[in-house]
Amino acid sequence: MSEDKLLEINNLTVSIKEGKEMLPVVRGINITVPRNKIIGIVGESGCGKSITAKSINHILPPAAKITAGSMIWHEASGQQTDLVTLKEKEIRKRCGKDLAMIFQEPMSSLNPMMTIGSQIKELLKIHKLENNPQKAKARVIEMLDAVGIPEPALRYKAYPHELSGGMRQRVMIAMAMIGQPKLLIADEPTTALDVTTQAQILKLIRKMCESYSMSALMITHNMGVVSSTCDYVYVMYLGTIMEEALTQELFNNPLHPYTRGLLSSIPKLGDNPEFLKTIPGNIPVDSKKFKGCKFCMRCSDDIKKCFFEEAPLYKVSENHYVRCHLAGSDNKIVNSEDTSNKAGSETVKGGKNK
Amino acid sequence: MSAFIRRCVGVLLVLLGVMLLIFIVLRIIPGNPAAVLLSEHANKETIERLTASMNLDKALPEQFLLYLSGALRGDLGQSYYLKRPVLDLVLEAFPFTVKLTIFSAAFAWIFGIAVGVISAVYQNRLPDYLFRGISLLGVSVPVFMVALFLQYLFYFKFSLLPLLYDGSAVSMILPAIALGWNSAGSVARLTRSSLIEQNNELYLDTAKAKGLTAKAALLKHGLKNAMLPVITMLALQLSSMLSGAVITESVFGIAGIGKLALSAVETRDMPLLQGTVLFSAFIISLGNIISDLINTCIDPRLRV
Ligand SMILES: Nc1ncnc2c1ncn2[C@@H]1O[C@H](COP(=O)(O)OP(=O)(O)OP(=O)(O)O)[C@@H](O)[C@H]1O
Ligand SMILES: [Mg+2]
Repeated sequence: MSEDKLLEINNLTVSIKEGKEMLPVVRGINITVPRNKIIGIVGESGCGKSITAKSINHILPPAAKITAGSMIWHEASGQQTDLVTLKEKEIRKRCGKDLAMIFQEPMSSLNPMMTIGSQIKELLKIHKLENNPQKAKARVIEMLDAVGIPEPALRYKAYPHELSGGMRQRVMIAMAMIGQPKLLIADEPTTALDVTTQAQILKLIRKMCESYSMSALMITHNMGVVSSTCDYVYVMYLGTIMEEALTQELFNNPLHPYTRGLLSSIPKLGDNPEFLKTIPGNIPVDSKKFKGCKFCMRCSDDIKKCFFEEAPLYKVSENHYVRCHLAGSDNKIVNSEDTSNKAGSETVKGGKNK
Repeated sequence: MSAFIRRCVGVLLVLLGVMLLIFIVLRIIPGNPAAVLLSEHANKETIERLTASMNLDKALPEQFLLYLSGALRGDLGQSYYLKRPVLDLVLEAFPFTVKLTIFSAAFAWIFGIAVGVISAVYQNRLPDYLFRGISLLGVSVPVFMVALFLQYLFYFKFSLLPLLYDGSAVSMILPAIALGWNSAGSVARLTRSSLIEQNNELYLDTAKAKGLTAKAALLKHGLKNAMLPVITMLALQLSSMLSGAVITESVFGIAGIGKLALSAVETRDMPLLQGTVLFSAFIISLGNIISDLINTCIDPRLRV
């Protein structure tokens, strides 16, 4: 996956202030987004997916801070910028133009007091993409049409509360697309929608990626969404990447017990709903001192080593990595934490947060 | 539109209730007003004649109905003390009070909102602490103290502004500030908290993701949303302003409703007191309707 890179997240660590302590919620993750690809991040609620996404365009909640890592943005010209170090003014110049984001809650992500048209048009004004108001309006209507909103000229004047959830998410997509970004960050864009609408929205996002040659970072807790949209997928658990692979590979050959758990919790036709599988246990309370595998309390395989030492990321193949003693050592592959820490011959234990 | 008509009917019912209430309250107070009006030495016959002419000898329900039918015809009775129709007196005083209320409401709004917005934008930084102190003073210092302090500072100390109201716009400045001071404090505090609350709203994340800085997003998107409770509050402030007007008008010598009401209390002038209270209730109801209308205008979700 080293070919044409767009965004390279290295060792990203985000901590949230809780009382006097800073608790890490994203622990040194590495994610690479190539051009023209849809990358998935999958994991259950609270594992740090949204925090990861929001750290890219600097909209973290005030309590959260990026404590380590870099996010290298690769310009087509070859120029590289670390997004982490950008000042507010500089990152805002990129937001909406290079990076766009859509959110989980289409109901509250739009300003209830403004028409959807003027909210989309505002982006053109902020980035001075179209100064003529008439032409700007025409462009917005064109975009509303492109995302499949019926009667776009009429809907231009609609307020958010006059639209359904699916329509609002289309509006969000139109707003994201009008600046022709290179990367779309989609934070659970379909979670609040019904299944049919969900499929339509995913199809729309895929279509937009293709026709605007845009990459997407698709965040979800739903393996179904991953299989229908993503090229490559990262499995996240408690702020750590547990497994990453090409989507096909991950579905054919899931190695981490957590990934397997996620896959087997997809209900299939004919399943008895009484016996829907879930992964036993909840996300355990974090303890800083705990050095073992974050998943060991819930893992079905009971291995002593897992309680004392977190596994490194084992390379299974060119397109498949896993952080599990059992699965990894079977594959007798040595650690490779990407390019960021070539020097460290020893595996990094307990994540990278110190 | 039907909502508007419903509101108007509501106002009429409120006014009816106010009339009934004040009628009852004033009748509970012991003593025959007719006897009070006349001197101690008036003979019994005179008192009886006056009592009859004031309808005070009739049964209470009948008295109320007489008062009500009079009110509907625009006759609020005759002032005992000033010997003039109550309606005339109230209408004469009305423009002064309206002027005072408008000026002080404008002061409370502009000053209060500006202070609240600056506080919210610089949350927990120096301007915020400073302005929070000021607005705390605003809500906690009583009207008469503000009025006397302003007179001391701007007349006696620096002789910048006139001591009393003389009909000129300049002489309205001190009364307007004195009366608006409390409201400005409440408006500032509510504006601040309401705007800070908007920070938790997801649409601000959307605005930032579009490319607005945090400050610009808060001012362009948050402010309008934050104004809704503030507008509602200003209508409520109107009632406290009218009660404050009693004091302000007396201190600055403004011949408004407040001063009229005060003199009516002093002279136990029942019809006049009824008239002033009724008028105040009318203004407050009007204020509520206006704030509803403004909210409907700026909040698309309330439009039918
Ligand atoms: N504003 C905040 N203040 C304090 N803690 C927070 C805040 N936002 C998130 N967290 C904590 O950070 C962790 C990661 O949260 P995050 O929102 O990234 O989860 P998520 O993977 O997106 O989950 P979901 O699927 O529910 O959206 C959680 O444990 C959460 O408790
Ligand atoms: Mg989330």
